[in-house]
Amino acid sequence: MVAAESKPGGSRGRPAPVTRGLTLAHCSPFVPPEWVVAHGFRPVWLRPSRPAAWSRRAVCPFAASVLDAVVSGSPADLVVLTTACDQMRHAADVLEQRRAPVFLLNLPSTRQTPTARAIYGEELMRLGRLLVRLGGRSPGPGELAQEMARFDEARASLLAARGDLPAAVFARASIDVRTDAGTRVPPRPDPRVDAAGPRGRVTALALAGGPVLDEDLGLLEWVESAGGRFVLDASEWGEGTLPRPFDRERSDGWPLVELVDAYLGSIPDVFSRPNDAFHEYFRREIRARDVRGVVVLRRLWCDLWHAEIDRLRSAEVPVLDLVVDPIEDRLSGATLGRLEALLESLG
Amino acid sequence: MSQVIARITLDEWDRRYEQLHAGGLREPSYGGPLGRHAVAGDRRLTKLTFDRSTAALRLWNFLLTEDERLAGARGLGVKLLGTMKDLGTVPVMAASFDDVVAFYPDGAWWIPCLMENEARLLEIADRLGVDESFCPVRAMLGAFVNQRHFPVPDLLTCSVGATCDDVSAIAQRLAGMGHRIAWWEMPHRRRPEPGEETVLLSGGFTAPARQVEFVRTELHRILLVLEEWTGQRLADERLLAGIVRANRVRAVLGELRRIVYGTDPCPMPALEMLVAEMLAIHFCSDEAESLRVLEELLVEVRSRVESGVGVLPAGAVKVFWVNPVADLRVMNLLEDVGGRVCGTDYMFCHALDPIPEDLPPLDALARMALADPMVGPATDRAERIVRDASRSGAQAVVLSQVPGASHCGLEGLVIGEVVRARLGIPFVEIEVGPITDSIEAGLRTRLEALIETVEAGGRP
Ligand code: SF4
Ligand code: SF4
Repeated sequence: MVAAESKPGGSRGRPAPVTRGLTLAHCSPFVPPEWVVAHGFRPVWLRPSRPAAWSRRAVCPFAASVLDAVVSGSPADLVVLTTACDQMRHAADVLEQRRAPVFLLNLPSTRQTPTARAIYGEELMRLGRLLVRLGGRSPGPGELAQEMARFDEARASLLAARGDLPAAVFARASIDVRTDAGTRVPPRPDPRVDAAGPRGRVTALALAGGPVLDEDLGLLEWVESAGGRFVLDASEWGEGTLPRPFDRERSDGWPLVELVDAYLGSIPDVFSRPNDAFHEYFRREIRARDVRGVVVLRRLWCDLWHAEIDRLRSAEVPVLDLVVDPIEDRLSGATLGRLEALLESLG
Repeated sequence: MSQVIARITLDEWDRRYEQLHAGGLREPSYGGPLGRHAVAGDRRLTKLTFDRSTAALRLWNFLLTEDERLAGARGLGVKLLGTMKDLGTVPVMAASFDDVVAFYPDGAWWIPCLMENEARLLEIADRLGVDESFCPVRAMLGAFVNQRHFPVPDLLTCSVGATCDDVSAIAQRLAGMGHRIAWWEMPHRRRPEPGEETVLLSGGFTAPARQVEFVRTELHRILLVLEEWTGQRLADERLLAGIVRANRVRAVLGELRRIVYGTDPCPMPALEMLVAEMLAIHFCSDEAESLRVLEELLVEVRSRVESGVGVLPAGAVKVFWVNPVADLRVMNLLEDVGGRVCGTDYMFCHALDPIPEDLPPLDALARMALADPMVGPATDRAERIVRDASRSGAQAVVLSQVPGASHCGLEGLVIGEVVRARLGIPFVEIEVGPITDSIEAGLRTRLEALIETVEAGGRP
């Protein structure tokens, strides 16, 4: 068994050098980059474009585009999907059926019980063992803690600069910071950000919903050029799903325990059951950042976000629910018209 | 040539009921003519055809009086537990307590069909933003809101994790409305790694021992919730006794399935068998009575087999059916075009398998829960379908998609590929919504074509 090898700090010898650039592709905020990097793999974020072959009735277009991307030539040595939703769970089945190198990480829906923590922790260990078998390495003493510190700093710098960044730039950077601890905070203000919109005022908005893909960024840019400003990104890949800062003492002593606690225990995501922590976070930040309206970008067939729309409305600011259809252009006249109406109504 | 006992319409049943009644038919308290259910709102019954036995009459009456039974239980001070997305685990625990009745709110799935959407549950769900991109289980949300169906339970449990998004999302909405839910985690059943301690589950599946341990811990947590809620302590002996009782229901159902699905001519229609299978999940709110209902069906079936009579002509094409149909009428349709059901996977095969009685009870329940075909890889489920279909001599497989179901799109694809490759028999996928009248001609044509293909000795 290789279990002991991947126990952080468990290997007392020098880590075996990783001879080639091994990559792990995923798209979940619950796959800690620290863990991946400490095992000698480079994380790659899956941001596939529109689905083609896998579009199918009742299939979430994002899950379909992940299938497209992987089946048409694996983007990495290993693809990790999680059980956060049914669609991804079954996408992993399809990939396994096609003998793609896929690992399905069991992400518990309940988050606060000891069982949930144990499941998640053991899943990370299982992933670690696989990475070692695939040519990665077992983290040497202190190595995981070191990676944790690096990524922690990168996240902190990004969050500190958050207010200055246009939404699209921030959305991209929120992904980069999950794959590369060396990510530099993007250069400061795009002049548009501080410029008032056509009506001479800036309207603070929040973003929520499923993953924000590259092709969605134009929509964010358009909103900000029209006088909106996204001051909160509570979407699936947004700032809300970055883990809390690590406790240095704990990460030096028991890094995996701290990693599990920070990821499973602190990320307020909509998929957890119950998901009150997400809604509390959402309402709190809406108030704190003086948000006046919410734009939800939601994939067709995504039940988990879909069912939350009404509850998002309880934050007592107008919510615009945009269903992202893979066929329909994000910047269609109808979509822009609705966004414009939202901005106008918020004055 | 064997004698065929044709299915009869609701009107025919009511006339027959009058004769039987006049002849001194003895019935349980919930008995009566079936037509009264249609008058009370279950209008779909007027479009169905039924088995003409008194055993089937009892089965239907038992099914269609569940809400009254629950209301009666509440009136007697019995505690009501709603067990969501739980196909046969917590109900076994609940039935081991005194004065607790568990039921299955997700069963509202069938209300839009039975009431031909007269109850407007789907419209209520629509208004709450839960539209037709969800599966028909969204009717459950409507039923909680309008409170005209089952009584609102005193406590809910909901299994989440490797279960469906539809129920998880709707249950979360219910929690948001203030309903108390005890959530429990069902991990995705994975294949054990080399060298990992492994447990053999029913249905031929395996799971790492560690996962069984996780589920056992979760069930223990739920047990503590139930103990606190009821003020009773459930010792292992009581839970084991509950398992033994559940196994009696499963054993009778198992025998019924073995005979019905394996005998030619078919001795019981597919529709009544679908209802019978449902009893194993939650006992239709009365475990003891569900056993008696199934026993009476078994007696009827045995006597038909002994006398060589069936409900269809001998030689009907044997079809293995995957997933329950949202419109019950489709089960009639299959038989109308010359097919018959010879085996099923209605998403809860694990609830038909016996629960181990020689293990600590929570371990046994954990193993059973993990054997749920829906919580593991779709390829596992497909393999079980292949095994069961092959054992049953199936000549074709029909997979009925549930519109809006989060798992159906991709899972159906995997199952289709495995079945086609391994069984080499025709396989069709159809989509069955709660009321199929507007697409019935198309459905009929597809099923007819399937039957003809088999009869012509065709390959998929
Ligand atoms: S958008 Fe929704 S359904 Fe699609 S992969 Fe993400 S969570 Fe799953
Ligand atoms: S049909 Fe599928 S999606 Fe709908 S409730 Fe049943 S398991 Fe869930």
